[in-house]
Amino acid sequence: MNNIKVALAGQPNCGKSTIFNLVSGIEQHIANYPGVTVDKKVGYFKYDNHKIEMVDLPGTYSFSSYSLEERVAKDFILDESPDVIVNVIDASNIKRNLYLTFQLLEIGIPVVVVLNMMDVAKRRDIEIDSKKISQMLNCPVVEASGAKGLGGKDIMKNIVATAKNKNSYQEFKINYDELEHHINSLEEKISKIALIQNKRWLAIKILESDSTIIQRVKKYEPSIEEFAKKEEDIFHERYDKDAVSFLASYRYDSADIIYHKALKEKNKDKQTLTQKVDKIILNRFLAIPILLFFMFMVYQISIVWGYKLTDYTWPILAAFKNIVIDILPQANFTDVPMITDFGIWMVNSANALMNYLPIFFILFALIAIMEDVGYMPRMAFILDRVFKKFGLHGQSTLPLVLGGAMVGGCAVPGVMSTKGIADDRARMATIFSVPYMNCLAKVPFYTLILGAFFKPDMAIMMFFISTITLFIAMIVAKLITSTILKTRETAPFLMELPPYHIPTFKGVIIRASQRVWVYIKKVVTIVLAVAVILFAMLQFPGLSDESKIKFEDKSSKALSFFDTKVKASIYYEEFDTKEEVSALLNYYDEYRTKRMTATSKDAAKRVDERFLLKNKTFYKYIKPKRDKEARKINKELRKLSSKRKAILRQIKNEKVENSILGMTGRAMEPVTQYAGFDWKINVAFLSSFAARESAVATLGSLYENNKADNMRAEEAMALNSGYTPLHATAIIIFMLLTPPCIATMIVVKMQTNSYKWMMFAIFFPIGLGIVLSSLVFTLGNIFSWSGFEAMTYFYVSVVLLTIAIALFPQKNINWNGGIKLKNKKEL
Amino acid sequence: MMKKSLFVLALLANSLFAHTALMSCFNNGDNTITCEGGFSDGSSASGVKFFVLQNDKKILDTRMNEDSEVTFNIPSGSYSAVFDAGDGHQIHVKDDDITE
Repeated sequence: MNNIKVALAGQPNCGKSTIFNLVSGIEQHIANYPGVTVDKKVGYFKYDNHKIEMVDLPGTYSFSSYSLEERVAKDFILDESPDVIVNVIDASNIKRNLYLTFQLLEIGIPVVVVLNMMDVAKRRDIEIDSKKISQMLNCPVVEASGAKGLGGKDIMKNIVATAKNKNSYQEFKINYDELEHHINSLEEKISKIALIQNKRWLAIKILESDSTIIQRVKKYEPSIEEFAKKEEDIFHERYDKDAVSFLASYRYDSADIIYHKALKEKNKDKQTLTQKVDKIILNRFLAIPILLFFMFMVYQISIVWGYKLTDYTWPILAAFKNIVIDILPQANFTDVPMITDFGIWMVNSANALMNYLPIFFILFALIAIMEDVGYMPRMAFILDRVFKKFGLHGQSTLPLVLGGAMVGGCAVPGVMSTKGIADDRARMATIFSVPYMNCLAKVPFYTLILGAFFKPDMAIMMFFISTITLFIAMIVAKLITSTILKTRETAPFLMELPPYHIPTFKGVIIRASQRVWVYIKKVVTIVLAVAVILFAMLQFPGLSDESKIKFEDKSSKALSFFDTKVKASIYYEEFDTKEEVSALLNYYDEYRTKRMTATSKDAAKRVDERFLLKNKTFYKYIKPKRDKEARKINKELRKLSSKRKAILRQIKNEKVENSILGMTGRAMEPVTQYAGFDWKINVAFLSSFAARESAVATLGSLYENNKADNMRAEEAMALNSGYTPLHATAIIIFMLLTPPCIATMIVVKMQTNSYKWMMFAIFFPIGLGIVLSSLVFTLGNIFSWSGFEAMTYFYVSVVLLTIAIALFPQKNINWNGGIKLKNKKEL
Repeated sequence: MMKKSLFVLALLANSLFAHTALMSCFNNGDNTITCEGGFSDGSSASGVKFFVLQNDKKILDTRMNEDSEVTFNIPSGSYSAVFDAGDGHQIHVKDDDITE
């Protein structure tokens, strides 16, 4: 059996992915190209005794080194030298697609041209003579329609046939007339170097100043750049033309010749269906409402309904967690082995992210549908003008909406959905802006503070809170795109609106599953790294010796109390040592956790049966039924269990308080005091972002622990307030800008592919939050503003700043100079 | 106290969205029921609203304690225990489903 390596190339929106899915079946691999975030899709399949490996290159308009996608595509051709290149062309738009075809043909690797979307072309009465094209290009041309599932076999047949005849392939040459002489002399110059690629192609690329190729050739021929420059200069002097545009115009001309010889367009001036639909979708007045409607539907379906699905997927994760806990060593009363703590911590971190899977699956499927239909580029078109002023992109809309621009969303799917943004700078800016959106988790927090401090102004305050984040996000986007992201590449905004298509079910499902799979793989690796660091930050240096003695004392007191209570029992000998009591307690607690994850009556019954089987002696204490003696033990056991929980909680709190993270909270006090925060709030904010469950417990002990009363939290707050509404405003402002939660951090790392940017995403909002809340708090104190006044001033300033940025002239002037006068008097 | 409840609730709120809410109830056999709540990532449910419904009326309205538990006397007649973690994240457990 022979292996055939195939590269699939084509312009964006030519239907490359549908062709890929058509021929490759389900068995596909998707990964990022090393060092970049461009997707790499590989499919393996067998045809006619040949094993075919097909790599789906990123969609590119041309084959220069301009964008990330183009570089990735070219590197693949150079490094992997495929046997065949399959070039997918949008049959309803042949002329423009052929430009890339000529570039591919020049590479020197046999090309198979696939005319995709033949059905669309037929519908538009475009007659294509594919035999003629095949004759003219001297390569196979296959008619296909990926969406309709037509042409797959033909493509495979031609790939195999072409690969078989690879050795008799005759070099494809475009005659570049006046430039030929220079191409030849460059070709001669590099004729002896060890690169295996077609030398003529390399020579042409060097003349086009293609940096990737020049770098590679330079290794063998260091003087190549100067040599090429000299040739170009001569050409320029002689004909007054630039080599790059000269080459391009020849390819366009060649495409034009094919178009005229092989195509007949009968209804050139008739409106296509796409144009008709666009009249509505892109209508000046309807475009925004329609866009909002679609955004709302995406939000509703993926986030609201997707969340409901987690009720069904969660038990699977819970089962996984239970398996891990079963393996880990058990606690000896209040001595929990660190390995157990660590194991549970890791599983919790991973599960928290895995819980998003249903949401992601729906979200990615919806994005795939919108891409296939052709709505995504239109969305960008509609909003691009507004967003561009802030360094964002029309395609930033979806991430911002999912992050919570409207109703409260979640940053994790928001950041995940930035993948589709072609403009690298805008993509990065969007990743860093999304976490400012009001996620649903923050909303109850605001309601609580507003209820306590801003009762009369609640509605207007909520309005401030829900709208201000969008303005802040835009300002931040502007700030970072004009500073640290300044040197990032921006893709030229090629506004090509593809015709509308009906998406294929298979394609959508495959794409959604692939993206979800990439997410799972990443979560597993990144969670390991981040969770380990955070665990260490919370664990070390740990308890002092003094505290250790204190807690040991508490434990033994609790145990001996239990002992005296149950001494009289007839079952006493079953638990008269510490080890036995611990085992019983673990059994009891384990039973309760398992019961909690059992959602149905049947499942509960199965848990019961399992525990009865596991330890019949202990079982009677968790389910005493009519046994009076056992019931007494059960009661004491419950008491002991909550005592243990209380001690464990205290230990945990003290650990967190003295941990590296806790010390950071103290260290921050000199700074945060200007915002009215003391170290306890610092720790609370810090640990809330690191580990919610420990934060809740931490605060319980950090503050005076009165017995729980039934007072509503809002009332309690307003009554016992050491806080003024101004404090509350500072807290709200900080919360608005608060750093993303751990899950968001991890997806930021995934999307930016760098820990450096992840750290930036954490510390920049913290810094900004501290600065702004301190500013407002300090000014408020000086001018004795009320909390509401302070918030109003803050809001108005932010809005004014946003408007100022939007109105600031954006047109970059690309030239300067003129006659420079040293002395104005000379005029 | 104020700060405590404020942050306890705020931090709780944080876990509302991303994680599934859970609750199970046991009959303790001494005429009391203990309900224990939690979230799928292991977050504590202390401070989360809890109430007991009978004929659509709240006969008990409280919050989960520090152990994420509530213990209450068994009411006569049918009732359901409700774990209320906010917007649409409520768990109802009917008396029939609470076993000894």
